[in-house]
Amino acid sequence: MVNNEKVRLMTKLAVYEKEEGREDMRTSNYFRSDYVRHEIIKTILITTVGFLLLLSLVILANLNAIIDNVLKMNYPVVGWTILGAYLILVVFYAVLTGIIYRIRYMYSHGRLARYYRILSRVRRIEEREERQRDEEEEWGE
Amino acid sequence: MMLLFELRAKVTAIYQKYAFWLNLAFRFALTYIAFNRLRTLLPFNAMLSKSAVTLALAAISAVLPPSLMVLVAALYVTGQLISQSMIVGVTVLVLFLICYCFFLRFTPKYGAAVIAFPVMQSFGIPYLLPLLLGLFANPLAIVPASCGVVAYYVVRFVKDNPEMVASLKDIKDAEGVYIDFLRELLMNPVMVTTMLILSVVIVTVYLIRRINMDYSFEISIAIGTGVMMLGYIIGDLRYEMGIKIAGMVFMCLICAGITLVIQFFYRVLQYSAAEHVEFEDDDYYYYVKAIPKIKTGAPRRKEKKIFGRRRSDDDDNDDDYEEAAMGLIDYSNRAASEAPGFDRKPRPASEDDDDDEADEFGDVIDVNEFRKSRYGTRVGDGVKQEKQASAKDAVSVTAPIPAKAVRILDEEDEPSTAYDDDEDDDDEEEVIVGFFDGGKSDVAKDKFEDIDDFEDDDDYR
Repeated sequence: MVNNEKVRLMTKLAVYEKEEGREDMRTSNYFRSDYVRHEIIKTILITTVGFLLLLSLVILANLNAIIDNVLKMNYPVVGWTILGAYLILVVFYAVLTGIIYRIRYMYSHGRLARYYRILSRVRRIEEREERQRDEEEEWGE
Repeated sequence: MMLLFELRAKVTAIYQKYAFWLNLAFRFALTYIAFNRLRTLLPFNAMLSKSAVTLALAAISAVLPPSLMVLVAALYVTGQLISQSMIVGVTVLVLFLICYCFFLRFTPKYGAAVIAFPVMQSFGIPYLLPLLLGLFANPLAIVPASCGVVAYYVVRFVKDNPEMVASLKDIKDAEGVYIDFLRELLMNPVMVTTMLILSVVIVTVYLIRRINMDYSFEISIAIGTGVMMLGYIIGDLRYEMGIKIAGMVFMCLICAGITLVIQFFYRVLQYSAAEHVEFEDDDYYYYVKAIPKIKTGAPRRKEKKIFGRRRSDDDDNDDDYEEAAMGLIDYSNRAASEAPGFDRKPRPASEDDDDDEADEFGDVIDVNEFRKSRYGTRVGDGVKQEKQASAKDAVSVTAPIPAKAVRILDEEDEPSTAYDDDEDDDDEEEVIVGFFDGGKSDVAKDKFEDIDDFEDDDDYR
């Protein structure tokens, strides 16, 4: 006999596993701090690549001015300006990533908690069914 | 109006039946239009410009995730441009990469918005995009929309300046032309103004539709359209964007109308796609088709007064002792009959007898009636019980932490009736009101959060 309540709960679990569950399970392998740190490191690397690409475009766009002033340029100032811009960008994106992924982890954790609650309800139903089956067997004997 | 609702019901029924294929067809249509448009704008590479190639790329992109769909489109544009000029192709690729590194990484699920802007622009309805994103996405959608604007203006700039692109064929001959090209590409005021207008409209529509009032969606569309018209008029006066104001106003109104129609269908269609899942237990394999229940109208908020609970298992009384010790239950406010170990009398028949929830957790009466009298009557027990608690003990609907009500959601209980997971009255949202201890216990807080989680649940039939 199919238990409708159990099927309903198991369907919810299956739908969750099919959609957000996979990503949430992956996230749950990490502690929050590790997860956020991992994403921040990825962001720093990607931001560095993006900054280098942007810098190359800016240099190309100002190539004439650079060539004209190649001997007159104050290189330490230019260097510190570029480094400062890079650091500001990296810190901004690192903070942004920290906030975004902390929130994502929180939501993912909430969804997983709900998933496990439903799972425990399914387990209880199964235990109850098993008890009933045992009792029926006893009566049968 | 009835005709519209009937039409919506029919459309929903068809969508439920063919949700997978219709989604696929829609994605294919979007990518095909995008690639076809790109082919006509940049017909530089003979092989990539073949209609069969375009069709194949559109078909592949349709089944890819949105972020990869954008990647394929970016590579297509780069491929076309490299055939004409290596420098221009590489520059555009670098621009796309910068967009990805700084922006798109955080909003992969809105990747389709990058392609949507150029597609809508080619149909003369770019005004539709910010209204839709404001209504159905969040302000983060500004990022892909802006990237879409950049992509469109880059491609358009290349198309509008064939001499400049032709002169950039050889790196040796490029010299100053490349610098001019780059400057004009990046410092395009029309592009920046368009990005600004899109951003403002998305945020405006989003903020207004989130306000808790009647017709917030419709009002947000109206105000968003007004802001957009104003933005384009100011932009045109300031930077000569080359738009005809009368035409723009007309198209804005058309787009607002289209958005209204989409909004009418979207909220139903969004949740009505059937889910096909497979799982198994010890006895059966299950192949389930789960169709979400469609909820129309605002949820009805119903207050219920829960005085106590009735548990069938005898050993559950042990839990009462433990929780009384933990301070979760304050029996001073309750009748002696509720104390642990008290043998309850059989409940006489009453009007609440058909209420499952009362059977499981105690008796439920209308809280307004209760407030009127300030003396509770246990309907179920037939025992008139003087309310010993003061008015402050009866926590209102908005009270933060109802600890004793939480008691009924003990981990060992079946909480289905408490959070109204019953399939019969799914459109009702319940609020549990009872005698509480002011939420002193952290355990109680956690448990009440459990109720909220489940109230938001989507049910299937």
